[in-house]
Parts: sequence; structure tokens; C-alpha cells
Amino acid sequence: MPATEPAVDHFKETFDRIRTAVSTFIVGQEEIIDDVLIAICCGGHVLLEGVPGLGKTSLINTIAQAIDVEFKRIQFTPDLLPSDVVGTQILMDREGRRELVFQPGPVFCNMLLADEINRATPKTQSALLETMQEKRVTVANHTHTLQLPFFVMATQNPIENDGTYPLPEAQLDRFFFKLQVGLPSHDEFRQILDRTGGNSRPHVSPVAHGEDILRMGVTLREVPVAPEVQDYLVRVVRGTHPNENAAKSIKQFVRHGASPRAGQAMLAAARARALLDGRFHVSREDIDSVALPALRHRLILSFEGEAEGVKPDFLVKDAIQAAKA
Amino acid sequence: MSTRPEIESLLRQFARRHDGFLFRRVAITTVLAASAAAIVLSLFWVLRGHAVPVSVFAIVGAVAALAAWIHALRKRMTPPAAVRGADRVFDLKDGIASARHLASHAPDAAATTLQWRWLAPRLATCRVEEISEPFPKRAAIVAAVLGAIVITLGLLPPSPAVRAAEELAHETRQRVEESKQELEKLIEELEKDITAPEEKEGLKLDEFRKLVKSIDETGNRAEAARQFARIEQKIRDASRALDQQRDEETLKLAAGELAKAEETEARQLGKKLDAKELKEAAELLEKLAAKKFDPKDLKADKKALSQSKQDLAKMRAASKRLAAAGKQRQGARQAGGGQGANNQGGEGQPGEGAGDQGQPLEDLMAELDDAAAEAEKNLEEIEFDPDAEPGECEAMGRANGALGKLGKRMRGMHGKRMAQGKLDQLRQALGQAQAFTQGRTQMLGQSPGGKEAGTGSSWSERKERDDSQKNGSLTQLQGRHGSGPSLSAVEESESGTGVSSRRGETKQREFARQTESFVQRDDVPEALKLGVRNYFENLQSATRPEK
Repeated sequence: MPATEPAVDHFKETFDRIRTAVSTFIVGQEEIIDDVLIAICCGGHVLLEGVPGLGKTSLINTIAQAIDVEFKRIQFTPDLLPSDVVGTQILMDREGRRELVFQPGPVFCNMLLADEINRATPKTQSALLETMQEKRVTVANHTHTLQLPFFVMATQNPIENDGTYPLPEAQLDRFFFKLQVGLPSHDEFRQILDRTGGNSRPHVSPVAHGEDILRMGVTLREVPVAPEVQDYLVRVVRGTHPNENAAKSIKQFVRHGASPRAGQAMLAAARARALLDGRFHVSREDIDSVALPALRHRLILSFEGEAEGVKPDFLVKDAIQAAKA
Repeated sequence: MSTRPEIESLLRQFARRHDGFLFRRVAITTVLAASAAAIVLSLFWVLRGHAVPVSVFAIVGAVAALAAWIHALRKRMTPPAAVRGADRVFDLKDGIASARHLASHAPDAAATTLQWRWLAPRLATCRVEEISEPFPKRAAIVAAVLGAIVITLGLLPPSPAVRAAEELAHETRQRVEESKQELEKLIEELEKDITAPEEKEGLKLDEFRKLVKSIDETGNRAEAARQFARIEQKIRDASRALDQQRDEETLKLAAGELAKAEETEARQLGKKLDAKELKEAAELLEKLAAKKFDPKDLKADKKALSQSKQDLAKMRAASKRLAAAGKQRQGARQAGGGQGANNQGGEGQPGEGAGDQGQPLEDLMAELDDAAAEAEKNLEEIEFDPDAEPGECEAMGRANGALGKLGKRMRGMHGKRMAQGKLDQLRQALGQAQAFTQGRTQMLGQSPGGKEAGTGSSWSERKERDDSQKNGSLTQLQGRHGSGPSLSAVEESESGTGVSSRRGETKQREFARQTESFVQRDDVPEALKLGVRNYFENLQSATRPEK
């Protein structure tokens, strides 16, 4: 489907509608909301990281309400089993015969909230791998395709590390964005209290459908990218690798840089940014704006980086500066 | 690449604007850097008191301009840079880059239209003229200040000492050049004056011409003096190689002996030898040769015999005197040999006493006398012994041969003497050139000073200096040891006359000094000098027999 002005308008209008709807309940966090919605438009999964009580789960719940899609939630705990996620075969008595019937897990939805994902065991975490990447589930030699659109919104707590299992790099790489939810400002805090302190709670009505999301994804993929901008993107991604041309901090603190999948994510997100900005072309500013959420979880720090407690965000910024030079 | 003229026009304007700013920046930076470099380089001269050569500024300026030009060329805005710069400056968010890309790859695509719809209104508001770059005031001020310093340094005159040294060097260079030309001219003149092959052989003018040509026109006085001194040394060596003092002394003795002769020819020969007119003396000597005779004819012809006897008598008269002089010289030589190193006149004269045939002059004289005596004896035998065997006239031939050898030797000596004189002239000219280059004299050469009538000059007008070689007082001016008149005299106690000759000798020396001083005066005409010289010579020759 070729890009047309109505398609672009649809993208922007739909995006704005969802954003507005979400904002009726979620106070502030505009950037987080935009990034989550961009990831949804791009068909990506989001990992939200923040201390408890910042509204991560509420954000996902609200987005699910705003988008008329099937929403499910899994609370990840250490005793959670993979079958609890993807589903299992159960023995059922059907017309006097007993047969194994596949009982779909909670992943069979359009939007899955994997709350506190790092509390589950790696085995359970890995159950999401195929689901996130291939958007299908294989149980007992039977592959079950998920309904599109499908998004995984995972949350994790960065401070309570006891009894947690850090996500493996392979799984981290499958997240389109990693968003860090910060504390609200003073005014936002007051607004939160106002909105949630009374008996009435704001109701979020659905303003978009799954079809709209899929159409938005098609539209954004039509946004052209100039070779110069694409070169810049490649320089940024390659700049996260500790090679000869990398920034000094990258060479010092990074063991492995971002993968091409990161580049794909950045390009898609940059296209969405361009459309949101009313443009039909990607700019370097778009690349810069999506570099942090797309790259921060994809950098594997070296021992020195871990020991120094280096924030990946600083390293990504250095890579951007190096690419601009 | 792009089919959008608006974009291309904007890019061209943008690139021009950028290049304008770039050239302004580069120009100021270049002036600053060049001025700084010129100051540093100028200090190298200024601190030593010299004026900074203009070439330094020219070179620094040229290098700076070249570097600036290369830098500006390299930093000129390229089309891709213009695209990026325009996108950045006009906040078009890579709109131009995308538009160019789309226009070239998918000009008719919907995406291209959509993108252009966004870009076109923004492009219309882009004003290249509004792009401004702050003028680099600080750099410009520093460049101006440094430039002013450079100009000041460039205009600084050299210190008085350096200026004096430069003027001196310049003057020295000019003087060396002038001296060189004068010497070359002199060599040419000397070459033209060469008459005898012996003279040419002894002079080696080609060698000296090369040496003169190789003189470097330096501004360093010491170096100039060294160059002239080296050539002078070579001339001195050449002159020393031509030295024939002992032969000349022998001839002087011979002149003394010949003056005592009764025959006119012998006395004339003696006079010529005394006057050191060796060429004429050689001719006179050769005239003494007797005709070769046949004994048989002489026996028959008494007149011829008589004529031969007369001729031989003349020859014999001269040969006796010459042989006597030769014996005296031999005696002196033997005595001198006994004294060893005290006889300085006998040393340092390579080839002296050995003529062309390697035979000492006194031996030639003795040989001549022996041959003449034998010839005389032969004639007597022919006259008084009619039965004498013919063929004994070989003695006459030997005598004539000896005469010829002696004459040739004298001609050779004449040639050497002339060559020596020319070398001395050249040496003297070198000395003058040396003095001229050293600033001890204000004029070079022997041309008279002063200018044409009516043109003023502070120089003293003096007549042309007479060259010593032309006024006959060679020996005196050469300053040769033992050759000049002595200021002390020894009484002749052995004369037996009882009359002291001291007063007379003193008078004679006084006359000689007067003559010499007179003939060397520049303001006395040549004709008058010649007359005075002849007068005194006649006077001395007239008084000599009395002594």
C-alpha cells in the first residue's frame, strides 16, 4: 500500500487519539507514553524499568484500554512455569473420550503485560523468546500462531535484586525499547493524587483498534530515509562497538555493542518520530531521539564498565557524538 | 542529482556564503600566522642589528598565501557538505538530503510528493543572506597588530655598525671587481708586450689569468686579501724561478772587465752589459764573430789573413775580459761555497748558472776564450808556419759557436729579465689591488687622478705615477738585497793613494739619490727625467776614471 496523505493523517490522528486517551489517566510521562506507542506502532516489545509505584502497570493497562485489543497480564514469580505463560495440553473428557487439548496461555492475546519479568526463572523467561520474536507458540510439536497485533509490555524493578533473574542478553535484544520510568514532578505528583485519590476514576474508552495499529505500522515503513541519514544511523550503531573508530568510553567500558536488530528498531522508531513530527522523511534528529531507548539495553558492558557502574545512556550519547564528528 | 531547481539554487547560494566566510576567516588567520612567522624570522636579523631582507617577507608571504590557498580549496564547501549545512542551518531536518534522494530515485512516487509538500514551504522561507557569521574581531585585531609590528620591523634600518659593515662589504666587493678587471687588463697588456719566447715561457700569463678570473668577488676584506696574496705568492714563486742574480753579477763583473779593454767593441759591449741591455749586448757579441776561413786561402791571401787576425783580435780582446770576469766569478763562487750558507745570493735560485745547456756562464766565457785563443794560435801558425796542416780552423768555428751560445744565453737572460719585470709589474699591480681592496688607497691603477677640466673634485690632482720599470731604476725599486746603494762605505785602504775616496763616494751617492728621487717624481715630464738621468750618468761616467 503506497504512502498517501490520508495514511499519514491516519497515523498521526490515531496516535494522537491514543495519546490523549492515555493522558486522561496517566499524568505526565509524555515521553514514555510516546515511546510505548511508537514501539506498539512498530510492532515492538517494550521493557519498562522503574521503581515500584511509578505507574508502569497502570500505563500498560491504560494503553490496553485505549486500544481495543485483547489484553492479558502475567505476574512473573519465581515459581511461574513456562506452561503458565504459553499454555499447555490438558486431558479433557470429551464425549466419553479423553484427549489432550491445548489450553492457550496468557500470551494468546494482543497485548501482554509481563509484570516484574525478572522475577521468573530464566526457563520461564525464555518461554517468551519465540513468542516475542516469531509471534507464535509451539507446544507439544504443535505451533500456534498468535493474533496480530501482539505486544509484550514487560516491567522490571531495578532495585530489588534479591530473588531476581536478570534477563539474558538474547531476550533483552528482543525488546524494541527499554524505557526508564522516572519520578513524576511536583505538579504531576499532585495531579496523580487528585486523579486517583477520590472515588471516581477516569474511564478510558477505546479510541483505536488492532487494525489501526497494523495500518500505522505499514504507513511508517513507507517513510523514506536518505542515504546520508542511513549512514548516520549505521555509524551510531557501529559506534557502540569497541572498535578502533569508537569513542574512548565505548572502547573502555563496552564489551559488545548493539546488534543490527537495534538498527532496525531505531530506523522504525525514527520513521514514527518523523511522521509524528509531520514529516515524511527521517532526519538525524529522529535517529538521536530514539537512540537511547533502542540502544541502552543492547550494550553489554565490560567488567570495567560494570565495576565502574557506568550508565549505558552515557555510552550511547558518546556513540552519537562520535557519529556526528 | 536533484531535479528541484529551488534546492540547487539554495545550495549554491549557501555554498557561496560559506566560502565567503571561509575565505574571510582564512585571510585573517593567514595574515595572523604569516605576521607571527615574519616577526619570529625578522627578529633573527633585527636582534643582530641587520635590516630584514625584503625576500624574507616575500617568502613568508608566498608560503602563507600558498598554504591559505590550499587550505581554502580543501575546506571549500562541497555539495554534500552544503546539503548537510543547509539542513542544519535552516533546521530542515535533513529535508534537503531526503528530497534530493527521493527526486533522484523515485521522482514520481507518492512519498516524494509528500516529502516535498513538507519541504517546499520551508524552503521558501530560507534566506541565505540572513546567515551571518560573527566577524573574528579578536583575530583580526591581533593580525592587524602583528602586521603593524612586521611593517615596523621591516622598516627598521640596520644598526650603524651593521650599515658600516655592509657598506664596507659592498665597497670591498666593488673594489675586488674593479681590481680584477684591472688585473685582467694588465695581463692582456703584458701579453701584448711579449717579444721573446723566453719571456713568454717564463711569464705563464695564462695561469695567472685563470687565477685572476677565479678571484671571488667577496665582501670580506680578509678573504679578498687572502685571494690576492695567494696569487701574489704564486707570482713571487714564478719570479723567483726566473731569478738569475748570479749570472747578472757575472755579467756585471764582465762589464767591469770589458770597460778596461782597449778595443772599442769590447768597451761598447761592456757598456751594454753594464746598462744591462743584454739583447743589444748579445747582438754586439755576435758581431764579434770572425769569418770562417780556409787556411789555404789565408796562406794565399795575406789581406784576408790580416783581416782575420783583426777580427780575431777583437774577439780575443772581448773574450779575454769575459774570461777574466768568469775567473773572478768562479773564484768568488768557490769562496762563497766555502762560506756555506752565508752566501744567500747563491741560494734559492733554481737553475741559476746553468744555461739552456746547463753550463755556467763563466764556463761559457772560458770556453769562448779558449776557443778564441786557439783560433789565434791557429792564425799565427798559418802566418808563420806555411807547412801547417789545413783543417785546423775548427777553433775559429768553436769560438764562433761559443760566441753564439753566449749571445743566446744573454738573449735568454734578457727574456727572463723582461719576464721578471712583467711579473714584478703584475705583482706590484696585485699589491696595489690588495691595498685598494683593503681601503688603504682610494685609487687603483696608474691612471692620473682628478677629473676633466671644469668638474670639481676633492681629490688631489697628480700626474700619473711613473712606473718604476720604465725609468731604469729597476734594481733600486725591487729592493733586492745587496743590489741597491749602500748607505755605509768602507775606506779603500789598499788603494795606496793615501787619499780617502769617501767624500767622492758620498757625493756620488748623493747624486744617485737625487737622480732617483727626481726621476720618480710624478710631476716631472718624462723627457726631462730622461735628460736628467743622462746628465747624471754622463757625470758619473766622467768621474769614474778619476776614481
